[in-house]
Amino acid sequence: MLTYRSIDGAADTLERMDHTSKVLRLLDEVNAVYSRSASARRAYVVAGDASQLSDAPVQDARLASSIAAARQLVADNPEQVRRLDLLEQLYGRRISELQASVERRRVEGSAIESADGLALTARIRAAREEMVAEENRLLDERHARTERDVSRTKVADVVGTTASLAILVYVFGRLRRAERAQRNASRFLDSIVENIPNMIFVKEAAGLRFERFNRAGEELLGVERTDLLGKNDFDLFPREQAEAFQLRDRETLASRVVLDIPEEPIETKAGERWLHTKKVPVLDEAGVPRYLLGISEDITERRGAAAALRAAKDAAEAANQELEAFSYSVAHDLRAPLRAIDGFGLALEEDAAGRLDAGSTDHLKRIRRSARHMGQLIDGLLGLSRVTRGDLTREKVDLTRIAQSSGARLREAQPQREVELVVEEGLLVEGDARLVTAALDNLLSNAWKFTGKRPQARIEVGRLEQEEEKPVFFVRDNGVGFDPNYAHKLFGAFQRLHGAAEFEGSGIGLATVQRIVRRHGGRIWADSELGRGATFYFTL
Amino acid sequence: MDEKIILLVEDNPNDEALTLRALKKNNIRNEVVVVRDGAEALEWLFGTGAHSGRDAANLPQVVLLDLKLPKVSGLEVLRAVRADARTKRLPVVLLTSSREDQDVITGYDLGANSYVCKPVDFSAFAEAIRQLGLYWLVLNETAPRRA
Repeated sequence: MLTYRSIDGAADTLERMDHTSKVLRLLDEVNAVYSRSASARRAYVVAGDASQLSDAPVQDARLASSIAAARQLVADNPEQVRRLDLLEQLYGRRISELQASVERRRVEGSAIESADGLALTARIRAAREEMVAEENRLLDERHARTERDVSRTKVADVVGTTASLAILVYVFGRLRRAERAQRNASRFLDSIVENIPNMIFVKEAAGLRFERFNRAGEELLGVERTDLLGKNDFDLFPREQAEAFQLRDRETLASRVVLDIPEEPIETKAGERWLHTKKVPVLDEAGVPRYLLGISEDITERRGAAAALRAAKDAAEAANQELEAFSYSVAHDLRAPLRAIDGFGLALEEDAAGRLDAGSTDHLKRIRRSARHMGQLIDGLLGLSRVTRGDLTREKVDLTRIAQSSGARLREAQPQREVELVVEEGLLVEGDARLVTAALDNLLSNAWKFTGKRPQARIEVGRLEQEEEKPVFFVRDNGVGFDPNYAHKLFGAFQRLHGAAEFEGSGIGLATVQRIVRRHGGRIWADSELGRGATFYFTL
Repeated sequence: MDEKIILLVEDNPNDEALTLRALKKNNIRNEVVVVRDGAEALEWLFGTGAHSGRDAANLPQVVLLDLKLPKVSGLEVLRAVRADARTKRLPVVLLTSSREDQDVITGYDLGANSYVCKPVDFSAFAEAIRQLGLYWLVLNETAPRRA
């Protein structure tokens, strides 16, 4: 008699708890589905990312069915039904507003989110919180009533029951608090598992049957969790695949260490997908494996992108090899006939020296000179193509030292010339030593060449005094200079601003320098006044 | 004087004529055997194929080996020569068109003794041949032949 009513009340309270937690869980789900629907559209409106747009209607449909399920649960409470109606209406408004922005962006190329959006979002949150609060209030009310019933019975019926009553009340109080704490914790965990964008599954260790499965998993495999829970891999996958899965599951459980499967194909309703999966044995306090936790990330797209990148890299390497082969044959095959022209020309000069008149000797010399010049052009082109090939390795490079040794080489080749070379100390820069040396060699030999007619030639290498981010280096000479009107032509291959009779050259040197500077991400420019020398500036 | 044979492996007839001329101009009067591809070079050296019957023990003083050859490339010839006990100490000089040639480096790795660049400027080539002649045929003793 005592306990009848109170137990009745307790059962009622427990039922109510269950009901409340169901409603709250559904409300969570409704909100999660809405968020996905909204963010799929916002990704397009804000960032032009259309990849999730097709998902939006799917989420809309889920939203409607989740709300319908929630409405069934709260049907006995007109106030909650009213709140749910309001919530549904607000969700609808927000989504159609976002859809309008999507259309606008599609037509006009851009769209601004309306200011109402924020207000709507706030109202949605408020309406939801109101529903949650109401559910919790109902639960509390129900519980308070049970406790009252229990105490009332206590007064009416004293004999031998005080102790059990006290225990009952105590237990109930504890139960209620514990239940609430546990409910909150488990709701929190549930919503995390549900919202993690990777497939998560849990199998019990004995039969490897699915115990748990999340939304990302449903979407990936294209199955409902109800089709899957309580089943094992043999119910879901082809025999061979299921065997392979289970073998690895058992190994993982036995070894008690995490198994990492970097990539693995899997058949889904939408075709083959590639997964990166980790399988984690979950042990009990005694260290016995109880569950197998699986986490799978869909890497199909990333894998595709990596494959495309690899293909592009292979193609680039193939092109590079082709270029290498081409350069080789240019070097070898084009030189051979030139060598014959020059070589037999020399033979003729030597053997027929006495029999040729001055004019013919001169023609012969011109033939040989032309062949040699073409040889230089080929060398220049090879050099130019060489600087674009190979890896660029950045290291500390001492420009001062490079300029000095380059100058020394030039002096050695033409010891009769009087050239004053001034190189600033401590010109350090980050760059590829081989390429930077080639660039400086070119600039200095240009300076050397174009000061050839100066009795007092002066070449200066230094750094500009200024506060730019990158140091600006320069090579200055007091040679013939160039016409600034043609400065834009300086760095083109085969461009020459001086006649061949005046100064020798292939017209490739500065093109090579420019290519080197650009490969370093630097800049090169020059200024000059005709007859007053030239200065070349560069950064690396 | 069959000990002083020079083996020239060269497929380009112009380069062959110019090399022979350069040798002659530099008073290198040794017998020069010319073969025109890598396969024939190996046959000649090892007394096989078209040259079966030639005494393989009679090695040339030096091999002038062009890198780019039909059939079997210069580097492959070099590799085969270095791999065979009979010829592994045979002096081999690479002839190449380009100083920058990656093959020159590979050639050294494979055990080439020297290389001569065949530049467009023929006088430079003639000078290189002259020095080569002095070096290999006058100053440098070949490795003692194994019994």
